[in-house]
Amino acid sequence: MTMTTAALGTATLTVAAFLAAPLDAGNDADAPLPKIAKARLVSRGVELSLAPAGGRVLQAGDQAEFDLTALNTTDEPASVTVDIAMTASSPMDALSRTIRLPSALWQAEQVVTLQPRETKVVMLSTRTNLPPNSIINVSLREPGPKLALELLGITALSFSTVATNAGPAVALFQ
Amino acid sequence: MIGLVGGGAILALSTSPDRRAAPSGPVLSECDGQLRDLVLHYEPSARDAVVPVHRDFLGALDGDVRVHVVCPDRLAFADFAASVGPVKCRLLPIVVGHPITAWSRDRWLAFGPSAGGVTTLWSPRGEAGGEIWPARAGDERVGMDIAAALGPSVRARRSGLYFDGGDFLTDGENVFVMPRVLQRNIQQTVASRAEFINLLARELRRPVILLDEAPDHHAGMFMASAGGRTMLVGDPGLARELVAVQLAEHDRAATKEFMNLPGGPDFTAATQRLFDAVAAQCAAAGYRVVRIPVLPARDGRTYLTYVNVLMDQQGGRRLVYLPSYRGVEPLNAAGRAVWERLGYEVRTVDCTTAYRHFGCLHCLVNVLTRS
Repeated sequence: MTMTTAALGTATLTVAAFLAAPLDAGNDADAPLPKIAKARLVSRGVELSLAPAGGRVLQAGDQAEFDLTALNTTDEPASVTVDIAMTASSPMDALSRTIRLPSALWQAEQVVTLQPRETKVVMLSTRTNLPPNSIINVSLREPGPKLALELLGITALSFSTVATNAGPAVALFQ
Repeated sequence: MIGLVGGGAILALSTSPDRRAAPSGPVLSECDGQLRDLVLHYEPSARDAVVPVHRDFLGALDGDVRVHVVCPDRLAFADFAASVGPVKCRLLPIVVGHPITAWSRDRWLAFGPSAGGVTTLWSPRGEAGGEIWPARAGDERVGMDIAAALGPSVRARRSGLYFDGGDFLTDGENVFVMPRVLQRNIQQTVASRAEFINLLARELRRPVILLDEAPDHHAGMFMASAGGRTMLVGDPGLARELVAVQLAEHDRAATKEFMNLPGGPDFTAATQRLFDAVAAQCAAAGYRVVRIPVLPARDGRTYLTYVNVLMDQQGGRRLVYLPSYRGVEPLNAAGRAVWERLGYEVRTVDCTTAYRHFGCLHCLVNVLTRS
């Protein structure tokens, strides 16, 4: 009798301990997908990615400079053209449902020529001051009409220029 | 030892894969079923913009609908209840204790309960602009807040994808997904378009139709599924005809922008082409497309729209809560007529105070459960 009681008690405690928080209620149990560490646009076997030049943290007021890295993954020489565009958007006001449509800050077309398996880093100077309190996106895409979604390219970099009491700072999203 | 084994066995059964899997059904249709539980946000600083809309809408709702009002604090709820005045539906507070915006729709998608199951709220990985916008950062937590407040019948999950709830349009068969969701996720959370579509179809448990082209806004600003494979798609060209006289008078007076639309109405060929592209893609998906006037502004965000609606199905009766705007009565009448021709009973909601903030009725109110 004592053993049965103890066993029942232990079983109850075991279940209670592990089911105290209902599995299906108010939780956030799903582990999110891992984020892709570095966004890449692949154009005819050339992988293109972008980063702030010298790993610098960009701030409001800066004239952004970027390193465009191109890696030829093929055994043939390659030459690719890529459009790089930087946009900024911000909330209209605190009541807005969403942020404004992005406005163009800077755009350039870059041709990169590579030997087989070669990697090149090209520095891009925007000569444009980053606005404060904005979401800045820098996209890479193959040139051409924006008729199909695949041609829209990728957001290679996304960061914000947050004004804080201590002065501007930037939170890189990736 | 026997107890541990017994307890372990019970746990194993109760946490079997079947139980641990999301017990909810597919993502809720926006046009089928009777409204049961709604969620809206109230932030007192948005009172002038949203209370007139909520007063009109809640006043028209039936008494058996529960409306959960997400508020930063209890005083805000008291302010909301007093501002809205007497209504037939039940107002229930969800006090979250942090900043929020006034917009509920984009915060989560609801997955309806299957038999005896729970409702699941699916929140995005993050909110666009959260880094520069404290209230938007607070919005990111609202799905979890609701699940915590409503207990075991509602659970919350965080998606691995970036999206706004308004980027999806769901009916009884399909989920239409706006191109901007792919743009936000490609090479950020997913490697390819195919991976994105597979992931969404698995999560939403309905076939996914990814639009290749659409205006850069939430779906509910320019399209609405009315059920029975009928899709309403906005048409600026129709709106242009209806406001031509007013617009000419306005231009002569040359005071401020027509209807406070930033930059004026957008009747450009480029914008019209995007709306037409949505219509063509819906037709290609096998939908009967019905065009309805929509008046977009040149800022690409402000719309006078008649598809930003809430639909209710009460047995064989179909109702629509339809926005209207003071100052464009011919446009309002045309929008109403389209819904009436589809067999809907129309209850109008004056959204004059809200549309300048880039959203309207459908954007302000989210649906938690339908019968």
